[in-house]
Amino acid sequence: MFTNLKTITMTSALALGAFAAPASAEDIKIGVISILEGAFAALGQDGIRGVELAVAEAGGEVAGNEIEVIVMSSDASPDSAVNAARKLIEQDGVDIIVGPLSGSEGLALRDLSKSFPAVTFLNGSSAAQDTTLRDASDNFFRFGGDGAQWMVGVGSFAHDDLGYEKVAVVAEDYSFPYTQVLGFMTEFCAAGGTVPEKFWTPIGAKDYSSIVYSIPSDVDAVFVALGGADAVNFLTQYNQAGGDKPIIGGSITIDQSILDSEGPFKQQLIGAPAGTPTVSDYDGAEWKEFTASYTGQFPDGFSAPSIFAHHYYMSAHAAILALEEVNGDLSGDQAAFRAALTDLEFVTPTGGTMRLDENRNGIVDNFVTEVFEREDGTLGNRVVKVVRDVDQSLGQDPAAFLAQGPVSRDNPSCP
Amino acid sequence: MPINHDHKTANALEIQGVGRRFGGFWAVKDVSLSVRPGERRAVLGPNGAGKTTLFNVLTGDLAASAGTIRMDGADVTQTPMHKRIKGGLRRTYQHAHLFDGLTVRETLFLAVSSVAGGWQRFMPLKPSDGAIGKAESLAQMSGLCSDLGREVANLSHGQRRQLEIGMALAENPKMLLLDEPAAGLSPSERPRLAELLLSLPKDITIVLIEHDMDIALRTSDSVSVLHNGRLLAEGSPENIMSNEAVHDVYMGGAHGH
Amino acid sequence: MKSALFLLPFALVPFFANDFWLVQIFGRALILGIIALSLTFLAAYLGVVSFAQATMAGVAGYTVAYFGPNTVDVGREMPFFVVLPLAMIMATLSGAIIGLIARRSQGIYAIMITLAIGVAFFYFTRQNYNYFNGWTGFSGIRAPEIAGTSLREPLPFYLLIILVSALCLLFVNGFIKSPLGLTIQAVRDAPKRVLAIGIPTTPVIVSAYAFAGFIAGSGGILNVWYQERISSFSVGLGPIVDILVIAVIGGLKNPIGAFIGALAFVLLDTFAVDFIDRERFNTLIGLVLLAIIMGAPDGLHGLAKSWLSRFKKRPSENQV
Repeated sequence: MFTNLKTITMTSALALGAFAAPASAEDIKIGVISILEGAFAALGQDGIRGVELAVAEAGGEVAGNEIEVIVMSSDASPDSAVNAARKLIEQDGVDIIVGPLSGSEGLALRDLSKSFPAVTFLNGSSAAQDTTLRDASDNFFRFGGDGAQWMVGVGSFAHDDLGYEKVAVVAEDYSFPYTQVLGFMTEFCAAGGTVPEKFWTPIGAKDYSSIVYSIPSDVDAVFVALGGADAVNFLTQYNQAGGDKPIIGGSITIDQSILDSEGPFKQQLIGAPAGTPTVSDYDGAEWKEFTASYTGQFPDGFSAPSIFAHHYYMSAHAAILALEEVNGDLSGDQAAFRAALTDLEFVTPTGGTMRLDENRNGIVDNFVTEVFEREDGTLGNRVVKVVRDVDQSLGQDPAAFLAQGPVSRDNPSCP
Repeated sequence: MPINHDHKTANALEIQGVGRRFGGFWAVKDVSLSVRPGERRAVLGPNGAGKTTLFNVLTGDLAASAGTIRMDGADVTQTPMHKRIKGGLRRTYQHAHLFDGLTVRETLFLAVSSVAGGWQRFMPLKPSDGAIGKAESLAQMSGLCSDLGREVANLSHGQRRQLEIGMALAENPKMLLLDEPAAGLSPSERPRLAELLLSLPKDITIVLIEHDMDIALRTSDSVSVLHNGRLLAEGSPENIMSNEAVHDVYMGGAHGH
Repeated sequence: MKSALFLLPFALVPFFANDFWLVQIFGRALILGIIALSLTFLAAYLGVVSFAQATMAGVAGYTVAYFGPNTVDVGREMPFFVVLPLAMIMATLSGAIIGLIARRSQGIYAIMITLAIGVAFFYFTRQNYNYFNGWTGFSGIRAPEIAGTSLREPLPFYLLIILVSALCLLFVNGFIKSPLGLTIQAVRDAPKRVLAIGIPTTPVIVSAYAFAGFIAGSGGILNVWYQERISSFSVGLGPIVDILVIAVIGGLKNPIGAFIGALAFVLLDTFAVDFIDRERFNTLIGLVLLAIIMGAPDGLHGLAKSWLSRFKKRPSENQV
C-alpha cells in the first residue's frame, strides 16, 4: 500500500519541484513562522491570529493585490525556524516573512535574512537584544521591543516607589533572561540600587533549594526572571523554605496562569511589580478597540489578545501600511517598500506611536504592572505605569550603551 | 605462552582431584583422569552427573574449585580460556549457539581467524584470503562443502552439529571436547555423525560426552563414567559394558527420560 | 556496490529540481539519512538500538563550529583540511566512548543508556560556555570554499551530499563483509559463543559503535554546513527522536532503509502543514508514521522488498 503511496508522493514531489514557478506578480505572499507544536502551540497559534487580524482589517488586499498568508511551524529551535523560512522563500516564494516567536529563532532568522536580500523579514515576538542591536541585517525589521525594553520602568519603580536598595536575581541561564536582567538592572543600578548576587539556573530545573538558601538575608527583594513551571517551582520552594522577601517579576514570570494556580506563595505575590509590553485587560481606548476587533474576528480565540497576537499583529500591520504607501510595489528588491517601513509611524494598540530606530528596532510602549487581589479573592495584574517611547538603548546614548558590551551572566554588574 | 609442550612423556590431559563447587554443592568432586595423546575418551553418566561442568572446568569457562589440570604436561589450572584455545584446546557445545546471520563460510572463517588472528581487520575480505581457504577445507572435513554459502539459520539440526565440529577443528587443534554431538539428531543423522567423528585425524585427542551408547562406544577407545560428580568407573568399552555398578546407575538414568 | 546504485535516482534530481527541492528536501533527506544509517548499522549488524546517533553527529558538528569560521567569538579557527579530519576523529571517538559505556547493554537497557548519554550531552552543551557557547550555540558557520566556490552553493553542496551518502553506503557494505564486520554480526547472534572461540567482545562492540560514530560524524559535518549553525537544540531530544523515527520507518534491516525513511520524513515534516489544518498537522505526521509502522513492521524498505519479490518469481534460495 505504502509503496504506491510513496511512489505517488515521490512523483508529485518531483513534479512540484519541476514546476515550482515564481508567484504571480499580482499576489503578495506573506509567510508566517510561529511555534505550533509542543508547549507553546496555543500561544504560537495566537501569533498567527495577529497576522490574520491585520490582513482581515486590510480587507485581504493592498492596492488591488491580494494578500496570501502561508503558515509554517517551528519547534522553538533555531534549526527548525531556518528550515521553515527556507521552505517559505524557496518553495512558496513569499515576499515577506513575519516571525519567529522565540529569541534564539530570531537570531537565526536575522542571520538567514542576509542570505535572502530580496525578502523582507519582520520579527514576530522574539526579543533577543542582539537580533537588531549587533550585527543587524538590512532586511530584518522589528516592530516591537527586546527583552530589556520590556523591563523598562520596573527598575526605577522598585527603587523609587517601593524603596528597594538591594535586590537578588534568580533567572534562567540563556539569552532572554540575560536581556531582561539587563533591562531591570540598567535602571535600578542607575537609581542607586545594588544587585549583590545573581543566580542562573538551567531551564526546566526542578530543585531550587540550593538557590533558596543562598539568597542573602539582607536583600530587600528578589527579581525572578523564570518562565512557566520554573517560576511555579521556584516560588513554591522559596515560600516553603520561609523566604519572605517581596518578588519582582520578569515579563513572562507572573502571568495569569501562575496567578490562577494554587499555593500559599500567591499571597507573597500581591503587590509584586513586573514589566511587560502587553497587558491583556489594559483599559486604553486603542487597546479596547483592538481587543474588540480580535474577539470579533476570532470568537474561539483567547478572551483578549496575548503578547504574541499583539506583536505579530504589529509587524503584519506595519507591512500592510508600508505596502499601501507604495501601492504594493515590491520591485527592485523591495527598495521602496523597505524605505516606507523605515519611515513608518503608526499608533499602536497600546496607544503609543510605533517607529523604528536606525537598527530597524521598534521604539515602543512599556507597562509596569503589579499583582492585586480582586474582591472575589482572585489575583490579577493591573497597570501602575505606562512608559512611552522606549528605545533599545533604554534612553542612554546609543554609542555608550553599545560600548557596555553584549549581555551575559556577568554583564551588567553592580554588586 | 605459558603452556610447556613435552609430547614424548606427557599425557594430553591429566587432571588430579579436580572439583567445582556451586555454593555448598559440589557438581564435580575429586575427579582424576589421564588421557593419552590421540586417545578417544568417552565420558558417560546420567543427567546431572557433572559431565558438562567438568568440560566447563577443562576449557576455563568455569574456574576449578579444587585440583590441578595439566595439558601436554603444562599446568593450565589458572590459564584463561583464550590462552587454552591458543594452546590447541577446542570444544563444542551441547546447545549450539551459532552465528545465525552468517554463512557457513563466514562462520568457519571466524573460527579460523579467532585462533590464527586477523579478525580485527576492517577492510573487505578478498576471496583469496588464506583464512577463507582454510575455512573451506574445514567445511570439507565436516561434510559441509556444498553448504558454504548458506546462512547458518537455514541449516538442519544435523548440519549445525557438523558446523560445530568444523569450527572446533579450526587451526589444527590438539584436543577436542565434544559435548553431546549427537543430541537432538534424528536416527538417520546419527550414523553420519559417527562416521564424521571416526574420520577425524588420528592425532587429535578427543574427549566426548555422549548419551547415545552406540556412538560413544563405537567411536571411543576408553570410557570414564561419572556419577553424582565423582568418577565411578574407567576402562575399555567392553569392560564398562559389563560393569554392574555402571549398569545400575547409568542404564537407569540414561533411558529414564 | 549494488546498494549505492540505489542513490542513482537522487543523482538525477539536479536535472529537474529547483534549489529548494535540491537542498531542502533531497539534500536534507540524504543528510538525515546518513545519520540514521549509523543507527541502522548498529541495529542491523550489532543488534542494538542506539539513541545517541544525533549526539555523535553533534560532536562532529560542534568540532566544525568551534574550529571553523563562526560569528560568536568562541573557538579558534583552523584550516578546514585540519578541521574535517579532526571532526571525524572526534565523532569516531565519541562513538567508541559511548560503545564502551553501553557495551554490556542490550535491548531496552541499551536504549536507556544511550538515551541518557544523549540527554546528558544536550544539557552539557546548554550549560557549557567555553566550548559549546551554551544555549546560543554557534551561528555563522560557513562551508569551505574551493576554487572560489562555496561548497554550500546548492549544486556543489548537493553533489557533495550524494558523494558522501554513496561513500557511507559503500563503507557500511564493505565493512560488514570484513573480518571485523563479520565478528560484529557474530556478537549480535551469539556473544557468548564469540567469547568461546577466543575473541573478546568488548573491542568488537566498541569498534562497531566507533564505526557508527564515523558514519554519524560525516552526516554531522554536512548537517552543520546545511544549517550553518549548531546549538543545544541540534542535539536535543527532538533530533534524537527524529533519527530514530527515520530509521524505524525506513526499516532497520537494511542500510538503504535509512535513506528511504529520511525522504519520507522530510516530505512529511515539510509539507504536512500545507495539507491539513495547521493545528493538527503533527497529528497527521504521527498517524502516517503509525500507519507505516503498523502496515510495514520491517519499514518502507521491507515493504518495497516484499512487493518487488512478488513480481519476481525467483526462488529465494538462490539468493546467497
